[in-house]
Amino acid sequence: MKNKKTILIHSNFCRAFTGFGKNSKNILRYLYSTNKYNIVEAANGCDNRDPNLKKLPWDCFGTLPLNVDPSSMSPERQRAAGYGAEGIDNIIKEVKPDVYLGVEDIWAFQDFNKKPWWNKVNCMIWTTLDSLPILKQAIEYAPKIKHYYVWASFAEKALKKIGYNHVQTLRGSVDTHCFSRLPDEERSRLRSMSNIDQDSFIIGFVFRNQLRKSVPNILDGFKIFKTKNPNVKAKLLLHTHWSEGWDIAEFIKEKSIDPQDILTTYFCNQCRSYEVRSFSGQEQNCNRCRSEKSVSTTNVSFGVSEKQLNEVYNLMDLYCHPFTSGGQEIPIQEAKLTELITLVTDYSCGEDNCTPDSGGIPLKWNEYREPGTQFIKASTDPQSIAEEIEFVFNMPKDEKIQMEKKSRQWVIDNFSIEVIGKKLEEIIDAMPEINYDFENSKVIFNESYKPIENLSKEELIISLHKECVNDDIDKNSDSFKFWNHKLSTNETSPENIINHFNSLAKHFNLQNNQIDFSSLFTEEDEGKRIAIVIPQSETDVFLINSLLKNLKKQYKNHNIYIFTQENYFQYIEDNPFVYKIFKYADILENVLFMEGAGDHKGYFDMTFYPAVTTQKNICYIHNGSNKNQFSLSE
Amino acid sequence: MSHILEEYAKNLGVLISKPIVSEHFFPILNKKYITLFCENKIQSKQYLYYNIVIDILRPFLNRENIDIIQIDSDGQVVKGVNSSISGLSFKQNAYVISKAAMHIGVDNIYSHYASSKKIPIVNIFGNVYPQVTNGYWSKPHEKRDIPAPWSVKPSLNLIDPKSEINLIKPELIAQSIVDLFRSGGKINFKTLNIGSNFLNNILEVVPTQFNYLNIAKNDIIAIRADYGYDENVFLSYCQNYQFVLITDQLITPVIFEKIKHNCKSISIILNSKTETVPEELIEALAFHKIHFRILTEKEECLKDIRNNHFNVEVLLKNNKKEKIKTIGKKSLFFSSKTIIKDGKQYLSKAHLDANEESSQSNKIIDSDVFWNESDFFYIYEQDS
Repeated sequence: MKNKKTILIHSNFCRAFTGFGKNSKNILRYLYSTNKYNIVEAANGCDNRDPNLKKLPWDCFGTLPLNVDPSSMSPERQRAAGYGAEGIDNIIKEVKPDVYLGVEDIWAFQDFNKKPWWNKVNCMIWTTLDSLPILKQAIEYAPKIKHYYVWASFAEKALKKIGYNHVQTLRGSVDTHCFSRLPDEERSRLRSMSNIDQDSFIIGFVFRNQLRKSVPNILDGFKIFKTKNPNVKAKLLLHTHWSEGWDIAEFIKEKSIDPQDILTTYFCNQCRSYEVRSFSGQEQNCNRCRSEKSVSTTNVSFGVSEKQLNEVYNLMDLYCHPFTSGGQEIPIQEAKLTELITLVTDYSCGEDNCTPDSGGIPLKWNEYREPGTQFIKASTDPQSIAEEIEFVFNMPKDEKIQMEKKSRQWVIDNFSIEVIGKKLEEIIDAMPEINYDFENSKVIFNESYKPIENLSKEELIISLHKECVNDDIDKNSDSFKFWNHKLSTNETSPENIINHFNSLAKHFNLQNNQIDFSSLFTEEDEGKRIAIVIPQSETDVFLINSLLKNLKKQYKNHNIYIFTQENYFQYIEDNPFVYKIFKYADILENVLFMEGAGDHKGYFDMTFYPAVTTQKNICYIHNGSNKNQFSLSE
Repeated sequence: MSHILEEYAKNLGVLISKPIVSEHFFPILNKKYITLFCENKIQSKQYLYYNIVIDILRPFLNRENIDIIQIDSDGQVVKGVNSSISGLSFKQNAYVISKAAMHIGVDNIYSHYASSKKIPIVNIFGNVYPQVTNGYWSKPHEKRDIPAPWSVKPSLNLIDPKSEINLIKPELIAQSIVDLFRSGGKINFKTLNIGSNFLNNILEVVPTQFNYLNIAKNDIIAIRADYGYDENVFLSYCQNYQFVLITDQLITPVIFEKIKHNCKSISIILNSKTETVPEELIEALAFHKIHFRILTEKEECLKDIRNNHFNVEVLLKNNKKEKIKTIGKKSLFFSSKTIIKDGKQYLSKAHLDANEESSQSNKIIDSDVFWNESDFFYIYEQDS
């Protein structure tokens, strides 16, 4: 009988309330229910002590490292650890998956291509991209990722345009069961509960109040519509938090919009009820449960449930989603599921959601560039918003209903768990099983690689990247362009590049850093300094305290410097044989840096690392059995 | 002996002397005292039965006029100590230890300090061999090293998944203390088994007759509707006390409306793949922030129930426990569980079934029902 393939899905924890987390939950449950695979989850943001990991239908591993104090990590390392860079190798080693499926922002996979298992296992990356030009990292990784999927088709088109034909669109899955159009009587009751006239025309926008959501534009568009159609009882429902991002109240004042025309959702963090009304401040008292200061606009800490959100959508007559760019914009799909026509900015992932087939209508936009990244961003045209609102408002009822139905069906056909799950099944089933005959060992960079003769300069550059630094690049990669230019203009020779890459490999292998800290010392005791480096722990520092008298006796003319963590100073500072105490830093672990070598004269005559055999590499214990043939006591 | 300090001495190439620390005065009124350090940060060094050690020692301590002062307690005071101090600097604690008649604790800075000051020490070891980190400066008659009875080897880690330090029997620590004082006394107590949940006190009520409970306002009771059920009595308990509910019946919306106010959590027992809890009830529980979980006694149903109720915690209600083989006729037990039914108190479900009230008996009942709850028991022998 054929073995089941083992699928490792690496993403946000499936119980996390994030876009990736929800998608992860959807696909894990779907794939589990097929009973075709061994499903294993690698959950970012969790470590293996988390008991919630053990309560899932499948095996789940946290990717955060254990026994590492995050404060001892650099910010870059912390970030990478948060995305699982430190834990994933061990999980791969234990699980031995046939398929690795990474579902995260593209930068989460930085240097994954240098891991020993990369592309030896079937590696699939399923990522969100939101702007043009495509993020450089996403292009850099394209040749390194065999199975490359993006959440929106605009990104696929852009990557294909530069030659990456293997990139495909696989949309993030949406649980279509949570959102639906409620019966007319129920919709009518909901309006009555919120004191909204039955003949009001409600335009809605559900969003986290971030600057990429085009709040000023929708307010301008709404105002133009109101001015042109003064007799229409139009209201704009902004389901968002008013105390972050855009200052919506200030905009309303500035744009002379009647505040009563702008509705929002209030939520009570005590009784968890909601109400839709115009904005009148935060931390209000709840009329329902009588709690004080418990009612604020809905937000990520205290927000409506999915059932309540469905009711909010059902208050709307039309959904409008203007934004600068986005990865999938799930509220658009939720709105469509409740059978709303959606006006969507015709850019980024919006392109998919504003086609006639999707029950959407495109909003025109003007290009601007984001400072710093230089990405193209969309500023949605308020005139277009007003025109399309008017178009839908005047749409014949039958035509509108037909489009609304189409809207829901399009999401079911393209985003539902069943559809996305089925596509994933097909992708996985087409992948070969893996023989784990490769060693899951640390990558050694080739310091002495010599390319074969007669390579073209393009082949030379690509082979050096591959062989010396284990990097798959192609002609679109920045590094390729850089070296190609150098060779084409004779700024350097192939021999120099070969030497450079050999050195680079050596550098990666050594991972040496040099920090000059000579300013800590005076010339007076040069050549007569002893350093004792004790990164951990209080007990070690205290015990080493008992050795200093004899150390000083042995080296009468030397000064003893202690390097340890600041909170351990108290365990040794009273010892009169200590000359100075400094805070510990990673660089101190490099004995050549401390004592010198070659042209570097170093800083200390002697540097002792007593904790190397006790804390760093516990090799002194010997089950408590060994004996010294000599006495070490005074 | 590969003591860590010798490793350091070899590394530096020098002989071992004594550490130099300037103690800072801290006023202590007790004349003769033992310092106790109870680790609460490093899991593999956390010993949970000092209260029993002190209980067993109490006659000896009273006779010898010795107090126990818990140092660096960090707000977690061991039951039975005479006083506890926290918030002191290391140098103040060093002063307190230097005046003590003895120090008890795990291997750490305080035990090493006590050793350097020749204060007798009783050291317990949870994650490392005593030989490598015991009191280096103490002579054999000045210290007692008690290693955990590791099933294989110590974890050599901050975490010990088996928490084997808690396999050290309290009477062994108590006897070591008595021995170190050279009093010649013999501890009359023998631990036979300590259940893993023994430290969690639980009050279970069976809703068949309502009784007012003598408990603090914020205490939470467990209502065992799976042991017996009368709707009116059940509602009375629910309305008068904060509670967690264990039941083998689904809860109707009408009942839920009446009980939700004081409810902290609900566990429903399901034993079939096809049985489901209505989504409305799950939503209502979530809405009222009531923790909800499903228990199943059938392992073969577990994964499917989990996938059917993905947003709910689904656990195996695995009650089957082995009988403790070392028990004898004199065996007794403490229970962290109290079951109340019809105004009577019982120490276990087996005692409830046998109608043996807690005031009558703390003898064990050799039955499956009793052993299934053995996680909550401390089983021992003591000559009368």
